[in-house]
Amino acid sequence: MILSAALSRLTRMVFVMLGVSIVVFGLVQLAPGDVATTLLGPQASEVAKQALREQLGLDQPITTQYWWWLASTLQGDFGNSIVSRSPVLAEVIPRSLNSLLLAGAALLVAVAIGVSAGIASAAMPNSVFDRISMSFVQVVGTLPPFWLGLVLVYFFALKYRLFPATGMTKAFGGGDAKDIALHLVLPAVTAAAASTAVIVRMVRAVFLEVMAADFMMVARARGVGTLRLLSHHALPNCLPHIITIVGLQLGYLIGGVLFTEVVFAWPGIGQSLYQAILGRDIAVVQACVLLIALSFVLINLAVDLFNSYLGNRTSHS
Amino acid sequence: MTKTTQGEHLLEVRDLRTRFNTERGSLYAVDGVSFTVDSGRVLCIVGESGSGKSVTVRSLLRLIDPPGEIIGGTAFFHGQDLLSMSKKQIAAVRGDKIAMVFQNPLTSLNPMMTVGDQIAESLLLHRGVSKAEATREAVSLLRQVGIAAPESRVGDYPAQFSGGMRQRILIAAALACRPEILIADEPTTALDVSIQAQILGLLKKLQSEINNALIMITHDLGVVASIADDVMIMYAGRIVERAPVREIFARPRHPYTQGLIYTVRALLDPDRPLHPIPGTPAIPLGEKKGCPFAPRCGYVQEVCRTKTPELAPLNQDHVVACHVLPQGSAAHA
Amino acid sequence: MTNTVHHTSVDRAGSSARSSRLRMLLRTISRDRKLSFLLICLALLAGIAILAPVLSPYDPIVAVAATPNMPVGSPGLILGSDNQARDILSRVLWGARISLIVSILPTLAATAVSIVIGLLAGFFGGRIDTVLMAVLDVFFAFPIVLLAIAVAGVMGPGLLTIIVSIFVVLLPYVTRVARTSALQVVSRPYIEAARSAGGGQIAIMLRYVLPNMIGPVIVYATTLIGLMIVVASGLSFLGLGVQPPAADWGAMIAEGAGVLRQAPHVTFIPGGMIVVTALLFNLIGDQLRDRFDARKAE
Repeated sequence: MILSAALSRLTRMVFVMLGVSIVVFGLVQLAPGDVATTLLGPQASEVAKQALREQLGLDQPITTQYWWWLASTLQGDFGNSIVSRSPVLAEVIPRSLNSLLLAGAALLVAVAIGVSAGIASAAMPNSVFDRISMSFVQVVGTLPPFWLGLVLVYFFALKYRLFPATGMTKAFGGGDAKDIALHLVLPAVTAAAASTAVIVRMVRAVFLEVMAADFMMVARARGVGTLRLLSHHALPNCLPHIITIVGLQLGYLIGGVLFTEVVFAWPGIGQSLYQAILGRDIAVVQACVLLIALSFVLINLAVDLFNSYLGNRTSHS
Repeated sequence: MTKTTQGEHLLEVRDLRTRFNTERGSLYAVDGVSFTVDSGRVLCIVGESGSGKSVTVRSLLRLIDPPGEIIGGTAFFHGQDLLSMSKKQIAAVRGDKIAMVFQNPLTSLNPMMTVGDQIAESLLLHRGVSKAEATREAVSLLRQVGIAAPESRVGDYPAQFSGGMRQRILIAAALACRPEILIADEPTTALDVSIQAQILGLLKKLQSEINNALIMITHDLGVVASIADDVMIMYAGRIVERAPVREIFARPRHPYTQGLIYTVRALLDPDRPLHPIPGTPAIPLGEKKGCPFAPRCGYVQEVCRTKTPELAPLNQDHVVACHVLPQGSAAHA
Repeated sequence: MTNTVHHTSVDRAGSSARSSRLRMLLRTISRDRKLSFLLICLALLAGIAILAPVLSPYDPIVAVAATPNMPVGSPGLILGSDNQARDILSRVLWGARISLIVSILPTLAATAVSIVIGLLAGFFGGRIDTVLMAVLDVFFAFPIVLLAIAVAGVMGPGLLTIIVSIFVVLLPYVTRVARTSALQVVSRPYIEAARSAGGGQIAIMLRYVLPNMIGPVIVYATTLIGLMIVVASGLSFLGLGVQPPAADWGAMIAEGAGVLRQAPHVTFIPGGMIVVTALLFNLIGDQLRDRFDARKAE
């Protein structure tokens, strides 16, 4: 039962990724500019450009080009970067790990603050604390991450030199865990802001809904005290929803770290993508987009499967 | 009600008042309710939606949340007033001495806890037994309420049971500590009619074993007829009539009760005309003088609108709150 | 004969219902004090943006200050000057135009297109719907920022690019809601009755399904405008929007980053404007959604 659901979702994912690959391939085709000119420079002769086009297979029909590209991509060959002339995948993978580190740290911050603030607000609904935290959360969720990053840099890096302003490590002599951790603080907080806002609101809503459920009243009528009500009765019902929300936020973070990486010059996949777009480094653009989309889809799939596994518990027979 | 040999009632409620402070004004959901409860007997509280039946019994266990509050009255149980106990004391009573079964079995069980854990919980809380022993007891209780193969089912989750079975599980959980009073708030309303009879039979059977008092809230006179010993009719937060079950059916003396009883009779006897009670149930908003049933009453007189009727004894065990009907010879019976 | 008579009376009921529904909507809005207040703020903002040429004290793209990075409250420059000695207030006012255009225009377009697509998919169902869902699935595989940047990267920088990017990002989400809304309306008994009574399918679709499915779509689209303002300004921040020296809030933030230490106000002020504007739209969207849900529940 669960297996068939998983299989059908997996097949759907494969089709979606196929569609994604078509979009990625197609977008690049739409981009203005001639590949040969970009590679050889505008001064090159038409003959040389034509030779290069034939060599790259650009004179073939577009569907053929697509299949060639898809085939090599699936084998791990994403082509070479125009800038560095070396294989793209080898460059992009370590950067993905840096982004994962940033996203992970941001998620940790978002969950820690979000869940506790959400539970606290739900415990005292409509109190002063609740109203203030909801308003605060509303504002924080609206802040543009690139702007928030600069604001934080100004206060915590420039004015009061508590944290470094940019980069992942010190320019010289850094690279150990403590150094990276220091560099991680401001970017992680910046990236976490929007997710924190979402988590606070959702956790509060879930808690309020669970606390109002009939079975909570029944437990109270049995003599269960407040602490046990929260830990044994409410929490197990809130956890699935919270995990779902957190999972979805991880997906959004992976997509959204781009702004944070640009502002803080964090060497991640978002930064790579941005540089590649500016420099028209097509192969890098394709690789980054594909990898980001793939991770996004995988995370959503995981959340989806988790939910369907849980669906059995809450259904009526 | 008939007093026990010691002359003391198990539970004595006097002038209970519970109010809800809403935006539209104060709602007096329970407006001066007094009654007694004895071991081994079944008291049925009857009324339409909004009559205050549920709020009354929830007030006994202090399960009233804001904007509601209990504003007056006493409820003496073993020499202590439930309504003025500390939070800790009332929590000790809940589930142990007085237990409650609620209306909707589909939502009354925690979907993320096994049924065994939920049945055993009050034992763990009030009796301090070990988990293993509580689970053993849970299996035994499942058997008593008629769940087949209880040893294998004790670890199952509520979603794996039907509505009727879930209500049995809830009854098992409520009776785990062998409470002296079991309150059942419309336990069969959400169930099929065929299951209804089974559940009622189960409640009666268990009562004969434990000898608890049973307070059953219902709007179904059929249920009243089948298991009640004493009946209490509520309207707009007040008791309008109270009597042993036979009396209520044979000689209803309040116009509202008459409306209810005669409707049942008319349904059973095709030759009798049907006289529905006109109007809709009253909502006890704000302090009002006069009988709450006056707007719908066929016997209404001037005094009914100005003076609130109090419960007065008609004969032994039968009390009515009405200015008009009990006085006359009342020949509708 | 009976068919036509039936048609006319229902039709008349339909059109009078439509105009009174509009009147009811306006009355609901005017009675809601919070919503009215927010809409007035929005109108003020729009007014300021439209009147930017009139209201701004200086030319936004010309250096007018004595020195760059003059602080807030300098004589003649209420909000100071930026890193190229231009008046920040003027640039903020002119930037408002761009921010409002790139958020409202694509939203209107996406709403209109999504209603058409959602209506067709929901009404006719079958293969049209399946294809639509497959296409939507592919779009949902891209995180919003990624999709926006990809489109902007392809098109090259410019105002039109931002508008198209936001449109592309919005379309899948609003279309999904439009489809759901259409499906919900189509499943109602009176639609089934109308379809079985005969009469043109197109007429039924336009006269009965369309008016009843629009509401949730518009409400949902409104709740997204605030986010789109942030995304759009993000694209400008990255240099993918209007090019310098044009005044745009996102671009202003990027320009201010270079002088962050000595003149933080150059960065803080345009960002603050983005936050205020996005917040305004979010609050409006929330209010509309609350009102709409409350009315549906009745």
